[in-house]
Amino acid sequence: MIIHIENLKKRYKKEWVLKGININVDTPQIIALVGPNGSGKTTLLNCMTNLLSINEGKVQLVGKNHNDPSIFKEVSYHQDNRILYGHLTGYDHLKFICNVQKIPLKAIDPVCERVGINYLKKQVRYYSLGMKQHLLLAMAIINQPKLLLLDEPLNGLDPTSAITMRNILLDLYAEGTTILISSHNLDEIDRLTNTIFFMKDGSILEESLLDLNNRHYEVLVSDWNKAKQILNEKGIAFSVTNQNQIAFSENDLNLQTFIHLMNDNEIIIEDIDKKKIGAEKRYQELFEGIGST
Amino acid sequence: MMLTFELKKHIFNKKFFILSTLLIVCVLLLFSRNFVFQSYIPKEQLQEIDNYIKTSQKNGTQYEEVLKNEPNNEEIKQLQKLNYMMINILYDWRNTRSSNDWKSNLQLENDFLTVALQFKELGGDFPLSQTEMNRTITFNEKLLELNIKPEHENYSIALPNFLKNVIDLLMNFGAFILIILFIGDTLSSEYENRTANLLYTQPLNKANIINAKFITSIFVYLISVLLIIIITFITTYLFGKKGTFSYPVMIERNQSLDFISIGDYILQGMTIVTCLVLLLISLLLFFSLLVKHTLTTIFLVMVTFALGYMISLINWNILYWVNPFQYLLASDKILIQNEYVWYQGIPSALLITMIFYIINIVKIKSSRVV
Repeated sequence: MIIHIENLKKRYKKEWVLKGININVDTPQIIALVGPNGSGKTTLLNCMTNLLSINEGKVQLVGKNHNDPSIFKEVSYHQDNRILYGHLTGYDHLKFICNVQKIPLKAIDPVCERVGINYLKKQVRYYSLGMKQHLLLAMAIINQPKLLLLDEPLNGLDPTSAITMRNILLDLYAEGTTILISSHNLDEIDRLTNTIFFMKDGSILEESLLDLNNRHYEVLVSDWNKAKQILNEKGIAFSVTNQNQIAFSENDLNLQTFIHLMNDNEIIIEDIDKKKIGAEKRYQELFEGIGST
Repeated sequence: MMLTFELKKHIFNKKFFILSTLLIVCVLLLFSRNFVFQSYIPKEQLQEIDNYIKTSQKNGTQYEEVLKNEPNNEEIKQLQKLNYMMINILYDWRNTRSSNDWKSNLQLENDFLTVALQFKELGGDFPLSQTEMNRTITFNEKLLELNIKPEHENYSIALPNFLKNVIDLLMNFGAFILIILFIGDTLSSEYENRTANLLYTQPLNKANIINAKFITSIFVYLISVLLIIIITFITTYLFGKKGTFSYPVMIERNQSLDFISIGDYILQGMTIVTCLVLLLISLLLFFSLLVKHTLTTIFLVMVTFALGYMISLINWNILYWVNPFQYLLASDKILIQNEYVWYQGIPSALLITMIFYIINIVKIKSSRVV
């Protein structure tokens, strides 16, 4: 088992911030953790890596209890850039990782080349946010981990760097690394994976295996009340957006059938918006109430 | 591996550079003060003799007045006789001061003080206390016996004496402040800056963090002491005097006066300071683990030391064995050894250091970053 989390609960003072998380991953995959600020994503990652204590439950990573420091030979945690020492160089950081991981120092050059770092001799305090993210990624992957945990790795990255990072993560996944990524960048999440854990208020609200090939339509009609009535009568699943568009999935209703239905009832179709059901769409549905009937 | 990284973190830090520079500047300023004061020392001593002469002359005039009215007052006659002797010696001493004959100077000072003591015993009025005079006489005799030229107690530019001045500063709060400034935040800042997250997510035995911090702290302390000693050696070599490490330091031992060499004084002082520093480091690490906040850590350490020192003021012999905080003002522990010996608190200092070291190791193993 690569990740085994059973009824994980975490409390700060009297407030439960994780309310019984269960995650099981036994084959390499990319999993995204998505949720609004304060939903418990970082707390979950910190609890998984034993940076924070847990109040209840059980966490095992790569088959070992999470409080066994030896897990970090196979598990890497890409955290925010505050973990870096400003007055030390990038090389100092990578050398330290190599030393504690017992990796030969010659591993530094290839990983820097892979991530695109050529400023190792500069002190970290002179790095831009993007440069720090690259260094953090290099530090996280230099030990070729079985499990890579990433907390907002795309923050501060320009589009080119974001593409590089995405490609590296996809390569690592292809090489057999399981990746658990927490991010607000839903477009990038869509490009990386369709396995998404949506978190809210310390719970996993939904484990979605989004079908990215499935189409979703939002149609603006002349009389949406009448259209609603017709679709309800036919028992077709649909929703209404906050702009009074009729929204439905291709799985539930074929577009041609919808057009015929509207024409038969003299409802004029003014606009058709064709969308993928991606992370963003699902996020809106879950957290912003958009698209619900 | 952890140790190298830790050393690098401290030594390549801007704070280390600034504090080391400040340390060098402080030693240089202290030496400059002593250097500048050299020309004032003879003047000061001459002024002192002149003051004695004036006092003696004033006493003489008063005795003459009394003897006019009571010509048979034997006590006053005796005092007047001693007073004249003192004035004669003081003039001789004053004349000899300009020469470089330090031995005659010391001998004359002792002759003067011996007569002054008799004068005081007979009820004469003189500004020096008997204890002071006895101490000076004994010290001068020791210098004459060892054939060592006297140095000014506070403003010497001779290497051993100036080094003693510097070590005195270290012994009296100096080392405490130095360690607080250099490594007061060594562990707490890791939690405050979140860099502890990096250390905690590596395949490391967390005990290594304490080991590395402890050793690095000692290393930083040694570097700063070494820096002080090197600067002292260089400045005194270039602008000062060679002096001798056999120079006597007067101490009180079992209610009587005794001597140790300045070399022994420095050695004993550094031993005490080092023990105190070890205790301080282990307490800093302990409170850092407990509160994970630098200012609170420093506050708690200071409170602990202040309380410990206050307890050491209680005159109870067993406390000299069990309370290492007595070394906060360490020079007293060497200079006055009436009810105890200087090294009496060292075993407890090392034992408490060891206990806190073990507590720290155990505590960090179960600690988290918040």
